[in-house]
Amino acid sequence: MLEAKNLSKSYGSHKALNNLNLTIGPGEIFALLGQNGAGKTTTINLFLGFIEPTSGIALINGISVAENPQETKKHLAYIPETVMLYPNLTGLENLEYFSSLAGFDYSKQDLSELLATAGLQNQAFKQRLGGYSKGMRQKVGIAIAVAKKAKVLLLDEPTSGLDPKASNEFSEILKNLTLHGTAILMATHDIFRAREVASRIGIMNQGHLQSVLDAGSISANELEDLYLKTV
Amino acid sequence: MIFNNKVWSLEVKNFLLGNTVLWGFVSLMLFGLYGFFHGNNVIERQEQILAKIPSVQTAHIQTVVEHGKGKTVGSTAYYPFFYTTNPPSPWAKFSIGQRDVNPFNLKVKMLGIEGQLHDSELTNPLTLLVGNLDASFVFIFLFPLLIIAFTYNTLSEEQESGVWKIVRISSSHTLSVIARKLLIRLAVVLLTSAIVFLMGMIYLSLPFSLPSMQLGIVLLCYVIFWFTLALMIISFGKSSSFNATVLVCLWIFLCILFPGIANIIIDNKIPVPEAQQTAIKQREGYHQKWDMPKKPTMETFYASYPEYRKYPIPEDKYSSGWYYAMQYAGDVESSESSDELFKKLEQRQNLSDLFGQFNPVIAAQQHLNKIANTDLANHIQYLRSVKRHHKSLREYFYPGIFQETLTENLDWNAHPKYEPAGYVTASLLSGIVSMLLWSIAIFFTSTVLFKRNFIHITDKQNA
Repeated sequence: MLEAKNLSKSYGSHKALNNLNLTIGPGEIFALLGQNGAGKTTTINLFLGFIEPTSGIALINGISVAENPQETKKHLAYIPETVMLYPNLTGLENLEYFSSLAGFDYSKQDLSELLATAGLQNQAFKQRLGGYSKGMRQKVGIAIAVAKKAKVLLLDEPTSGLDPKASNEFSEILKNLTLHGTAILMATHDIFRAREVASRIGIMNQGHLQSVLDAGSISANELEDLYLKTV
Repeated sequence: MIFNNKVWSLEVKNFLLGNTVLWGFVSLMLFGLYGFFHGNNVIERQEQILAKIPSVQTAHIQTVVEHGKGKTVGSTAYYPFFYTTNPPSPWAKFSIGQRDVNPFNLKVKMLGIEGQLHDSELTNPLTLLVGNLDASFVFIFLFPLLIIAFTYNTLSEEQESGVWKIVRISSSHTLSVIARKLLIRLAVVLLTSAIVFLMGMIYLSLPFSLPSMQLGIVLLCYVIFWFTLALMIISFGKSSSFNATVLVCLWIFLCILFPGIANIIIDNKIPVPEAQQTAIKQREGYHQKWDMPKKPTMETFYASYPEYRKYPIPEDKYSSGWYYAMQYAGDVESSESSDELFKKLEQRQNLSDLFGQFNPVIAAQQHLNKIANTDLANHIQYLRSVKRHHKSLREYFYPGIFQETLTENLDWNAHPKYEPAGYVTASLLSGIVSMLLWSIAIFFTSTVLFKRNFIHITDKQNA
């Protein structure tokens, strides 16, 4: 579903990402851990097609992102660290706008259900997004991503700004998506949640993917120790 | 596509709810209303003055004739003024042009015409910079600002806030997303201009006829030009502040600097000392004749009017025939510089038309003035008609003067009446073509830039 082959990205002499090799299959959640500047967001941006690789190739469904970004986008959904949407429109309208852009025609009922599943309180649906908290916007962002029914989900610290309960609900949504065969790449700082939700965990440092672990075979404490040793 | 209907309506809603839209719309309406009020005011005042002229003329002639009883026509004809008028077209209220600079009525005496024609100001006959806040000012100067305010941050604001990332991922047709956002803005701009224009039509009671349609066409082309210009700046994919700065700089350049520089070039390249020169020559030509033998003066006159050769002109004393022949001779002597002046005024008009090819702001302003018959060409036409009228006045009185008829024996009210030159339909082709060519060229450049800067992968961090 999602594959990186010798993927590298340099900004001048600085190597933001160095020779990444990674395959994420359908129904798999891969969590990327690492400090700020370790290359997590660069990896995600390369898959999104926002930036061009210096060398190597990023593939989605076997299609090269750099060569055919319009095509690979169709299979992608994305939640950034801070979801920014149109402040003049309501949460419901934002969801309607973006899902229609992606070519879906949801009824108001469907849209409300998507927002409710993402954990947004009912009374906020018809309020202007400008008045939302960061967490509420994040939930609309989740609903937009889910509504796209994409085969690949790219998450850049998606739970930042969410309260523990919402984070927990988000984990459930992700697990539910994997049952439908979605491949998920998630950059995060949340070691605990990574271990709980991911199938595999990669630890990055200075553009290198240092180690890849099976999430089921390690405890949260062990993971934290390893993380601290790596970075 | 059905889905797109939702996208369209939400996109429209999103744009209209932004705070610049209402603010821009309302202020344009207010400026528009003031522009109509001002244009109406200036032209109405002129019309009021023009309306008084016939009665003033009749009363004036009557008084002069009353005083002249018992004297010859030659003696009385020295005094009366004959009024000429350049009445405004119905569209002058929309675009005052040079009507506030150039005289809209001139009173001429039987004396030499040249000095009287240029009694008024002729220091800066081609004011490319608009001085009046009339309807044309609102369209030419303020609409571009509205377009800038509506468009400068169309995409950059979304890039800056981060929505753009989600937009790019959500749709695989980024170009159509951009096109939709821009079309909505274009529609709002066009709608605003249509509303302001129709308000003007009603307020100024412009007739529903060809010239009104021409005004609309020029304004449409002009608005489209500015919109494509804004498109091109947006298509560079730079920040909102960059776009706003560049667009405002372009506005200052096209609306203020360029016309100002063009004005200086025109003044330097085609100076018109002739107005002054003509007046001086005519006066010298006339004054010197007092001390000169009468014969040569009379010969100049007879060259044009041989039929008066039969009337005796005494060499040693004053006679009316000689006096008016002397006035005429002054005109003849200054006629070369007078022709030169008219030729130069026309050259100025042509040169500024040429500048208009390179700057749609000038082109649009010129065409509005052309349609309204308020430009320099109209003024030249008026001056020429005044000269023609003066000629027919002289020719009406010459028989009475040379035959030394008594004042009361001439029908003074039967003197030739001045007929205003009438409306001249403007030809718009060159201006419209140049504005459209600019727009098309800029539009195609923008589409290339949009593809390069928004569709292909950009290497900007946090793109």
